[in-house]
Amino acid sequence: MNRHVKHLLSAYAHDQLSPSRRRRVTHHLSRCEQCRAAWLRDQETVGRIRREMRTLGMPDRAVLARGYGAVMGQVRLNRPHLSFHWLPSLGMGLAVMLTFALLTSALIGGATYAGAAPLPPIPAEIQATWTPVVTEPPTAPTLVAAAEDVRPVASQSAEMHPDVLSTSIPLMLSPVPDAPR
Amino acid sequence: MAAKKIYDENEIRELIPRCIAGDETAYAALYEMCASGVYRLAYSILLHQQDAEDVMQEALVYAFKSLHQYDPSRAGFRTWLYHITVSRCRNARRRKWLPTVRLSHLLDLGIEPMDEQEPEIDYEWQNARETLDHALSQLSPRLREALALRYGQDLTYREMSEILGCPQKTAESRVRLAHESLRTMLTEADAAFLREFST
Repeated sequence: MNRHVKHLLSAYAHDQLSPSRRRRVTHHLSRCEQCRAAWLRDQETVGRIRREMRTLGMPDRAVLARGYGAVMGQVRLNRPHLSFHWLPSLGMGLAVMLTFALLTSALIGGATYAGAAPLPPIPAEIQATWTPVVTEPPTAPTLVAAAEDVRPVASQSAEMHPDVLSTSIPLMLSPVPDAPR
Repeated sequence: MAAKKIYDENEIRELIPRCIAGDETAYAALYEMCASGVYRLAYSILLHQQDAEDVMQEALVYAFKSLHQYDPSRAGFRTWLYHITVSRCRNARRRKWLPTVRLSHLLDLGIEPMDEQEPEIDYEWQNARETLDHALSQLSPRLREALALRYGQDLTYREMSEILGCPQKTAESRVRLAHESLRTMLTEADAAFLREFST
């Protein structure tokens, strides 16, 4: 309790001590003449600083008049007040909407690929149909010529209906007489 | 300019919508209420007349143009305005290294010694003022800001913390450190004179 508290006086004045320490300083000041004198001196200095600071830099009329002219001149220049502070928000909103639309279409549509389109169905009226071929039995003088005519045609007959071949082949086996021995 | 009006937060809140609507008399009333405090704060921080005047104009122009952004639910108008002012002071300090303040600066401001004083009292008053002003100029900018707000504007620590953008405990510590520095710098002779002068 005999230790002086001068080093704590500023903190004491600004209420920055813990409750127990504050009680100790208060108690010490009530008993120590030296510390109490320092405390009173400190308080006087603070009071003086406070009074001086309140009048420090007090502007005169000329400063205020100049300031008013300058301030109002600039404020008037900006009237009517056109505020475009919403413009960045609008731009950001549009960008978000565009991104959302692109992402949505990509997710729903899936990946794109290149491929041939399916063939269109053939109309019924132009589809190939089998037409029966009826051949008259040839007469005797024309058998050889007919056989010669038939041979090249035989290559084509592969494309003909089997029924057509079956009717013409027996006619082609005996048109030429056997050679003399 | 007419006589200064007393700062009134409620009246200011009534003036703001009129200002936004373009009422010039409302601007004039608002200027009259705030300009002196803004100038004193700027001068207490910068300790330079021309810089303080520039800062006052910059801060008020910005505030008047931004009145539509002021939100009364977040801070008092004075707190908002002083926050702008301190910010402008910091910008000004960055632009220019501050010279030591001379007595002539104080006299140029129109701060006249008290009337009906004896010539020797005037001289001593000026000396005391110069001593204190010199001590202020030796403080770091942050401590001077704290001192100007606490002692010059009578703000609470909570308001100071909002203006300075720091915790309340930091604001308290800055005032205490400024106080300790000033006490150390002021000579015993100055303190003795201050005691004598204040009686």
